Amino acid sequence: MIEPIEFFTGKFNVTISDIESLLGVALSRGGDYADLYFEYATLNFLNLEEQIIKSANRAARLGVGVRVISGEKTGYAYCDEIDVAAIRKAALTAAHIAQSRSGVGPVNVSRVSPPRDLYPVAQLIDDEPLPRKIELLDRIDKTSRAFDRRIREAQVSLADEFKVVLIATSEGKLIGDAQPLARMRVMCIADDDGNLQSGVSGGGGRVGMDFFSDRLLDHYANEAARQAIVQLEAQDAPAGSMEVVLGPGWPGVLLHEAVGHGLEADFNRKGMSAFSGLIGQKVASELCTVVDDGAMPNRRGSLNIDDEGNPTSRTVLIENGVLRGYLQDKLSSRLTGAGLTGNGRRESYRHMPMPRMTNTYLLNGASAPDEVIRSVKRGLYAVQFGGGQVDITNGKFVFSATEAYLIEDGQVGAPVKGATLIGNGPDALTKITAVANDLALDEGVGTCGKDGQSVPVCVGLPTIKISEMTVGGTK
Amino acid sequence: VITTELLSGIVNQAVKRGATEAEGFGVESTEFHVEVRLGEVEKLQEAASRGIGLRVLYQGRQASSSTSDTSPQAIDELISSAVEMAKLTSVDEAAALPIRDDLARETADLGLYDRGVGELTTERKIEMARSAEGAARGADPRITNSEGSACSTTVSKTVLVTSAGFAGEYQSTTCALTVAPIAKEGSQMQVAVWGDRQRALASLESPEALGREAARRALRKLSARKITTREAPVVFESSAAEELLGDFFVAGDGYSIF
Repeated sequence: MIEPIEFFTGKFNVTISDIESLLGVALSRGGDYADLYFEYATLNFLNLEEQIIKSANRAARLGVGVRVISGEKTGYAYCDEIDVAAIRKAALTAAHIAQSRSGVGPVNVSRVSPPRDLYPVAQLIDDEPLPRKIELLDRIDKTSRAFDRRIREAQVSLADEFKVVLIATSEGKLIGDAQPLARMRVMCIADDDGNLQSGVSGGGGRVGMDFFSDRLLDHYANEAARQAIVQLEAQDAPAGSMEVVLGPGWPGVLLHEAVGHGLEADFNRKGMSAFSGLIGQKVASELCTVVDDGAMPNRRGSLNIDDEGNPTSRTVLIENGVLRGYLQDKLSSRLTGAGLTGNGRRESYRHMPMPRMTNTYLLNGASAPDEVIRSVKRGLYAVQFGGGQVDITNGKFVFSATEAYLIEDGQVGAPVKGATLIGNGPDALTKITAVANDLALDEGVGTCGKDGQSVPVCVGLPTIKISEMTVGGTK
Repeated sequence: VITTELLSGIVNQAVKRGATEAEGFGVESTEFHVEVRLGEVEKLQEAASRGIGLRVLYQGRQASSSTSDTSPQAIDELISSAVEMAKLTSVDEAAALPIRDDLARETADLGLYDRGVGELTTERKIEMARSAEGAARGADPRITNSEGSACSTTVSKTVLVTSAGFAGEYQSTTCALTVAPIAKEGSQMQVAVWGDRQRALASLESPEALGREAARRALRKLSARKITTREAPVVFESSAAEELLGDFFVAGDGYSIF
């Protein structure tokens, strides 16, 4: 595998002593902390529509971001090339955030290795010949269409990237990582006499080509087709306040949006979150333990080191209903004195790091999933979600369920369409009255947006029951 | 520097290597962004960025590649990867670049560029963000916190060259000012984000007016109460109506319909 330090110093005309003097330039007007983030990424995208490969795209992205922190202020600049003169110019720009006249000289850095390799990959998808990738897409397309004659169209795509990063900090650390990432996605459209419905499936992670076994590809294909066909029979959703059961896996996106973001340290440091100042207090039903774990092997949200060079970890956010901590980046950790959690992430060298989630999920409870459903008199069973929105200040959210069923007298009944779940995160947490033992993480499709920056994440949930939630429907 | 000459060279090279049609696209921009929170500069970001994209067709098969690296070696890789990939994708009868007769010969001046945006000093941009936040915070004692105020500008140049004979470029600017005050009353906390984005500086709403309007919007949400589920007439304020219209356009664009 690639050794990031050798990769950058070998491929580009940059030496370790250049890096040391560049850190000195960044701190030439003072400041508490500075770092350099070198990135070299290749990104591939292949898509199939109407049974043909519509297009193939390959992009190269490289550059360096320079950050200077002075108190609560951050200066940031970047260059789109890996060249000492260009980085120096960016460092001088970022340095302007600090006001002092005197700086420091070059900063000595020493090599540090990431604590572990969570994603050793034998054969990078980036190195795979195009015809081999096309075979995978074709297989999914054919399997989806064979599922039911009413499947009219399948759109299949494979996005893969390989990113090498190197981070140098004014605290003297020089650390790098090589990060593979891939995602397969399939959307099927079912057409029954003009009634059009769609279904989506897919997955991936920080994996190599061997991950996408025939069995897994067939699962994606059949799952997307099944969802589309189920929706053909769906009735209009009921409206009103009712019991809601969330299925395992991807419905964890609700936890991510309505609770996770509110636990990011930047919002809390500024008193802007519904969870600000509540550490040690009960914020959820005692059935709830929520963790963020960036150190899981091969997961989409996993990282050996975060984008500030710190090891990722398993952070308990809520334990048996009690708020335990927030997700920290360097800046928030410095300003609040809380320990680092390895959650400083950024989309690319063009972006400043901030506290972000990695793989976020609710731990298993004791109930059996069917027991949870049996306990519902009249409610909604939501299995798949589409888009959603959340307001961090009050935790309010709106989510649309793309696959959901009525529950009547403890039995899963007819599928419904157009159901939206409306509520607020802190309130919903207190109303979780059952947690099952079937925790699943999503299959590796999540991308989280914050302040215009997208990063890959995973979400997860066992089957849970929320005693009361507003369902928006048309019936 | 990205010029029509550079892109013409790339397009010609792609054709020489087998592409039946090629399109080179380039963007160069300078971006500035400052965030002020509670009167203090919190983030200041400035950078010049650029990117080149190449789309090629090979006997009805399409592929594209892009890079931020303009070194000769990177450009050589850009061309060869697009051409090689295009040979392996499928024939798509609908895929084609505009033919010579369809190309624009003259373009109207749409007022997309304002020299004044690029000439704004850093101090002035900080001042604008400060004034907007100050106006919001001063509007009412219930405005107790702020997510901050941001001033952003971009100055960019877009260049397009096609093998059918088009070569052109234009410059554009944007300037934006947003402010997000937090209103608090009892245990209720509400935020409103309000701002303006324009091509020309003179068209931008004043910082004070934006701040006051943001405060008004945060305050009016304070007394929010739950309503029962019902069918009711809904009035969409213009900004919300715009979003709704946006969704209609997505449903009605060519890609969604075919």
